[in-house]
This record gives sequence, structure tokens and C-alpha cells, in this order.
Amino acid sequence: MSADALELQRFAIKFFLRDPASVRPEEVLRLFHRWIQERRVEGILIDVADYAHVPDGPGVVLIGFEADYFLDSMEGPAGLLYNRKRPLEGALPARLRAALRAALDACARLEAEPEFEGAVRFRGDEALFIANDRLLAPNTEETFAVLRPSLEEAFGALWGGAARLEREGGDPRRRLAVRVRGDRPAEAAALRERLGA
Amino acid sequence: MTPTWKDKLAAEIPPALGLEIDQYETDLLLRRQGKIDEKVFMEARLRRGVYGQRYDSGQRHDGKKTQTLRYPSGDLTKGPGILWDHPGMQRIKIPYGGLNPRQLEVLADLAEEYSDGILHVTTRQDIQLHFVHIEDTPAIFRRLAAVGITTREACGNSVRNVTGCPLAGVCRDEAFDVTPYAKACSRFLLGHKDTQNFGRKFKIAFSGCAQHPCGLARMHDLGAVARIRDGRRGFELYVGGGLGPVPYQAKLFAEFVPEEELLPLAQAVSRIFGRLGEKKNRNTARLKFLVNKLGLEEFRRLVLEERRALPPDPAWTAFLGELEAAAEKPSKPAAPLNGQPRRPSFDAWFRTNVYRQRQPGYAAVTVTLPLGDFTSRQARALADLARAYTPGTLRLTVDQNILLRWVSDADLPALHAGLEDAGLGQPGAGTVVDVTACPGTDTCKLGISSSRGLAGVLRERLAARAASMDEAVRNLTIKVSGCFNSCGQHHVADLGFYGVSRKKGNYTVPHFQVLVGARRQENASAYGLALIAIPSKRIPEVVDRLAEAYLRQRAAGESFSGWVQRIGKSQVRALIEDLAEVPPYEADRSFYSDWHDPRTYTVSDMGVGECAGEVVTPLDFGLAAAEREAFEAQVALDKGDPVRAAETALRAMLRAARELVASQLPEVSEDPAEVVREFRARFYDTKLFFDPFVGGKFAQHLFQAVEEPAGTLAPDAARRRVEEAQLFIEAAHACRTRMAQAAGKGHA
Repeated sequence: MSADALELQRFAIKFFLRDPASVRPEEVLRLFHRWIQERRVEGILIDVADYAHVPDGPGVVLIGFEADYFLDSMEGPAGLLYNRKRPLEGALPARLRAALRAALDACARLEAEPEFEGAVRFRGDEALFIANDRLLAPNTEETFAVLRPSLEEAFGALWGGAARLEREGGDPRRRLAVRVRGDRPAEAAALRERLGA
Repeated sequence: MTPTWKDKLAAEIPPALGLEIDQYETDLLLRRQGKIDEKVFMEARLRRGVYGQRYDSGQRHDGKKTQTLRYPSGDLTKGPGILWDHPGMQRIKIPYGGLNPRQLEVLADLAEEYSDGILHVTTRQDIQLHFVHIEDTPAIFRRLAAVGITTREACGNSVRNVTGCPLAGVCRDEAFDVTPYAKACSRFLLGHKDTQNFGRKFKIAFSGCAQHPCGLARMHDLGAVARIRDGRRGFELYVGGGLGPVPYQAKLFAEFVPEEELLPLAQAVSRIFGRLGEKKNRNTARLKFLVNKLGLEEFRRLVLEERRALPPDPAWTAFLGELEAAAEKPSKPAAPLNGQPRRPSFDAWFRTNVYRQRQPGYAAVTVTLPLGDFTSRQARALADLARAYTPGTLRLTVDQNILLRWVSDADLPALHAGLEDAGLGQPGAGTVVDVTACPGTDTCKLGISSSRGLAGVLRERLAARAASMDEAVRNLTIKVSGCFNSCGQHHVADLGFYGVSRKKGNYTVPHFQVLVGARRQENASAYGLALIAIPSKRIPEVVDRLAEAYLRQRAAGESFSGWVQRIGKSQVRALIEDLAEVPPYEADRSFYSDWHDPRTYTVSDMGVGECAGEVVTPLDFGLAAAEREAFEAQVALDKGDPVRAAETALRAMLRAARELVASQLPEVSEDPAEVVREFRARFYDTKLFFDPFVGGKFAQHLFQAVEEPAGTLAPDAARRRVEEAQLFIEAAHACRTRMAQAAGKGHA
């Protein structure tokens, strides 16, 4: 392992809901089907997978070709998890920013859905990054050290350059996960704006 | 240079397996470049368990219109009409359901990195991952190979996963532990030259005892039930069983096959199947059709003759010397449960999920998986618990659960706490709550109705009432399939359901056929039969009504199937017949979408509200009449009158065929010869009646039936004719739907 982690293409970004009970799985199921109908988020949207019956599971998943959108309860508290599956262009910070834009677009869209009447809100001061490739990015301190500058650069754009990173858990079987905290919380739409086009 | 799994795992993958995966990867590359035929590639990937998945033609109905999925690889295919870029399903064979913790951890890794974080246990003890990109499959295979798992022959015309009783080795009633035999059979036949020329798949199952349904040996192509005779180990061997659209009970090939003869006999059966089995028509290519065609005696004669001619192979008996060494040993001493602190939920869980092993002081624990699903995190938690409390072995079960064996009684409370913390501590294993379902319309291309949606709803509703349920109801089994193909094993449940559809005006309504009368005991000794099609949304009421009636009317100690037999299917049907009614679209639109799927099955581009002027055509009435006759045939069968059953079944098919013909040729007579002639010309030769997946198979049921007088049929053939009549009528409904679509009067 050296700079291999910088080749990372499979990774996930999650934003947490302020109130995990603000949205129910059956509502998200309907919503995700509508998002497919109306092509409301980027990428080729394929189907909706319903895992609401699985305790602490991935919930309801909007399956895409390039990425999946989860209303997830598996990786920490409930939130929207964007899981990138297909390669993106550019260096790692650029790829991370592209994924952040897609994730925040989906969060902002969820917040703006009229049926929720403003009840769905994301915590704008925290996110989770998961490296979803055990070959290129095993769960080690060394990998974290390699990834840190790219993560700080990409997430820093959300919070005025002040993103605090903390590696989560040391179980080598688990994927490398990094909790990212900012000190300039904002609504999802505002965070998205900070990233630019 | 970017590292690869191939380089990283080179030393851990057996060379032969590594070479196979390399070859597959080359095929992948060649197909990508258009240098290998799509059909050839399709067979290559299927033989590695790489399946297509729903919408892989690139068309998906979103509830309002059909959307085209515009993938970057454009029209490149991985099989006829199957787009390269569309994610698919990966089936992973787990022989006899046996896993160790390390293997489970690797499966968890794969689910996270290449799928959606979910592992799905199938009714044949496989693991499936969904939404997998084909480019990722070589890495998946290498990572599995490094821990001793192959996906080879998980699909295709091959020996599929060899299944086995999950309690083998710890069961209180078994003759002996069948595990090493199932393992040896799986290894011996994998890639064997005599199993490469099948016209269709071949399924094998092992059971340790004759009376319990854990192994379901009698519904397989080859079923082996452990027996001891004169102190020697051997097997009662069954052949030619199978579910599918028309289920066949396996026939007893031999009362006792000595253990050393098991593998050579399996090889001989394989050779006969490969040589004489149907190759052109996939719909009659399973072993059951060959056994039926030849007759059991002739089939047996050919197999034994083949066996005598086989050159000896040391592999036939090599494993017998390792039986003792292969036996599982506990990792901890047996200690009593008494006095151990436990959680409040422990007792309910203990009642349903803990099985007392044959070995005193040890228990086998069922981990209940809702719809066979568990997460990658739960998989790792299970691996940890298996290491902590067992010798490190787990078994997947045909009921889509996981079994932990050799748990010392004293560890049960701690294990329960660990499972509960991982979200895996639900009680209800093997009860009515523990509903089995195939993937159905969620991911399967053949799914007609949402089997998982229905199963989830039933599970939720029944779990809420489980504590107050009468034990007789609590012990019922429910199995759901998304179509007639029986992947959910609906034929072997107290209450079975399989997905069908019905027209209502200009719309199509998801339904399920209701099956009752099965006997799971004695390794699935009797199959259920379809009673009536009920709208999906009313199936929970069906379950409630039948359960209540059973409870009210049952005699002391009477089983559900016994009650059905005693009161008769007509009475059972009468209890739920009114639920078949579908309200008009305007009155209740919920009937026009399926469970857990908000999309409307139909989109009216002919204007909203036309259901108010709904017209019931003569064809609809005619098909309903044909269904009634098909049901009468079942009643005759139940009354022990196979001749009348077969006659009535044929009449039902003729009626359905005539109604279709009459829609084009109103003056058609009732004369069977004319009906068949016109039906063949107008619906078979034109392929109008053809099912998208099985072609003209259902029409053949009619053509065959008119050639075989009912009086000449054996009872089991009469029973099959009744099944075939039901399928023919379903096909007539589907044909009617397609005709309406083509005429622009309805929607799929």
C-alpha cells in the first residue's frame, strides 16, 4: 500500500438526518419511484430495492448504474448514503467533490419534497466517508494518512476549509470510515451551493 | 501499477480454479470487443452463476410510461436482448449450506463492495447478491475461490447446488450424518465430464431421515435419504422429482444403495440423463420427463446397466475413509442452561429457535432472516458469534435462515444477546411468521407478482399476533413464489401462493393463486394444488380466513393438510371465493398496484375514468368458466376419481382454447377436433399463445391431452393433467392480455 488509495473509485458519502423518524420507509419507497419517473437525481436510475424489513439495514435503495442512493440505517444513524460504483474523472479530490455534489443534490431534493412539509432536514455539520474498496484502501492508519489531504480538500469546501476528520473504528475487516465534521453548519442546499458547479 | 485481486490472491487460489476464472475473464474481454457470440458468452457466464436481472432489456415501466435505460455501452449485450451494462444477480453455491466464519466475512465484503450490502439466502441454500456489474464478477470469483467457494455451475444445464439437511450430524432422528456424502457428491460431480451434456439443470438433495422436511429429498431430480440396513450405511434413492410449473413427486429408484455405490450410481444417472434427456425442448428436458417417458423400470434398467459398464474411479470411495475425521466436534464443553442470566425476550426465542441436539447439553440455533436477507454487518457479527460459541460452522437452510450448531446450553443466553444486538434475535423460526419467498418481481425477470412484498406484509401482520396465536396456527408454513416456477417452493407449504395476473377492464391486476393440501413431512411427500386466484391485496385476508376456519373446524390433533382433505377443497375454496372480486379502478386503485410497489400496473393512455364504462367480454366469461372446470377436476382428484379428473381437466383446456378461438372465429363449434385445429392454426402456429419465457409449452399440454384418453392415465399422470389445465388457463389469460394490448385496449 502506498498511494494506491488515491486510485479509489468506489466510495460512499453519507449525510445524517436531524430526526431519523422524520421520514418513513414507505414514503421513501414512493418518493424514489417518483424520482425515477421524473429523473430527479443524476445518473441512470434503474430500480428501487426495499430492505425496510431488515433491522438496521440499508433501508430503501434507489439503484442506479453509476451510484446508489440509500435511505440508510446500517452505517450509523439514519441518513442519505450515496454509494459511488462507477469511475469518475479526475484526481481524487475532484472525484470526491463530484460525489458530494450528487449526494447533496439528493439531500436538498429530499428536504424540498412538499409531502414532507419541511420536516425532513439533514444535519449540515457532519458527514461520513467510506472507502468501499478493500484492495486499494484497506482499513489502516496508513490508508487514512494517504486519503486525508484529498478528504480535507473536498469536504473543506463545505465548511470553509475547516473539516475535522476522525477515523471510525479499527476493525480491519470493516471498510475504512471517516467521520467528517464542520463548524459552519448549513442546510443541504446551501452546502451544495458552496461546492459550485 | 494499480494492484489487482488476481495478483493479491494468486497464492491462495487453487491453480485449476484460477485458470477457469482467467478463461472467464478472457471471455468477458472478447465479448466486450464483439469477438465472441452473445449466446456463447451467455452460457459461459451462466455456468458461473452470473444471471440477468429484471429490466435487463433496457426497458422499464416506471408506473406512467416505459423508460429506456440508456447505458454507456449502448447496445452491447451479454446474451440475446440482455444489455451489458445492466446490473445482474450473482448466485453463489454453498454445498449443503455449509459455511465457515471466514467465508461468511468474504461474502459480507463482496455484498458491500459490489452489491447493496445485502446477502440473500435462497431456498436451495445458495447466497445471492443483486445489482452486480458484470465487470466485477472476476474479482468476486477470485475472492471467493481464495476461501474455497466456487460459483461454477451455480446455473446453466448442470448439477446445481447439492443441498442437504442443515441438522445433519446433530439431528435426533437421523440415520447418520449425511454431510460428508453431500460434500463428496458435490465435489465429485462438479465439472465432471459426465455432467456437461445435460439439456437442463439437475438438482440433488440429501436428507438424514425419512420423516422430516429439512432436506426435501423427494422433490429433487436425485434425492438421497439416509438408511441403515444390517449395520451398513446406505441411501434410499429417489429420482425424477421436481417442482416447476408442473410438480413431480420423485420415484423410488432403490430402497437401499450402499454408501460405496452412491457416487457411481449418481454418475450413471448423469450419463443416462446426458445421453437420453431432451435437448431441444427445454420445457421437457428435466430428468422427471425422461423418467416419465421411459417408465421407472426401464430407467432403472438403463442406469444399472450403465453403472456396470463404468470404469472404476477411486473418487467413488476415497471420502469414506475420512468420515470420522470430517465429523464436527464441539469447541466448548456441554454445560447446563439453568441459572444463566437471560434477557426478557429469551424465552420466546428459545421456544421457536432452539433445537435440542442429539448430543446432550448442546443445541442448534436458528437465526431467523426476514425474507432470507441479512446485512454485511450482520454477517460479520454472525461470524464472530460462530467463532465464540460453535466449532466455526454455519448452515444455510432451505427455509432461508441460518443455523448455528453445537452451542453449549449454558451459552444460549449470551448467544441470544449477541444475536439480538446484531438485529438477528427475532423468534418464530419455522412458524407461520417465517414466510419463505423467492425474489419475484423485485429482481427476477420471470416474476409476475411481488412475492417478497406479500411475504413481508404477511410476516409483519402475523408477527404482531404471534404471541396470542393458537399453536396450531403458529405452526403453519407459508411459501410464496412470484410466478408458477416454484422457486419459493409454494407446492410444499400449508399455504402456498404463486403470482399470476388477471385482466379487469383495461387494466391488469396482480393476483396470487392459492395452494393448499401439501404435506411437507416425509421429505415433501405431497404437493399442494391451486384453488383459486385472488388479488394480491386480499391475500392477507385469505390467510386469516383459512387459519380461523382451520382453528374452528379441526379435529383434535388434525393437521392443516388433514383438515383440507377432510372438508374438501370445494369447502375451502368457498371460504375465500368472495375475495376474488376486484373493485373497479376508480373505486379502489390500491388493487392495481402490488405490495411494496407504488407503481400502477397499468397506465391508461385511453383516458381516465373509462373503467366506469367497463365491458366484460365473452372471452372473460369463457375463461372464468374454464377455470371453474379446472377446479372441478381437482375436486374429482380429491374424491379419488382420477379418470373423471383427467376428463374434466381436458374439458377445461378445450373450453379455454375455444373461447380464444371464438374471439377470432365466433362461429367455431364445440367439436374438440375443430377447436384444437383452429387453436393450433390461430394461436400456436402464429405464436400468439406463446409465453415469453417457455414458448409454446402450455399449448403442448392441450395437444398431448387430446391424444391420451383419460382412461389410460395412471393416477399421477391424471394429477399432472389437472396441473397442466390450470397452467393452460393461466396462459390463456396472459394471451388475452397480450391481445388486448396489441389492440390498444389495455396495458401490461
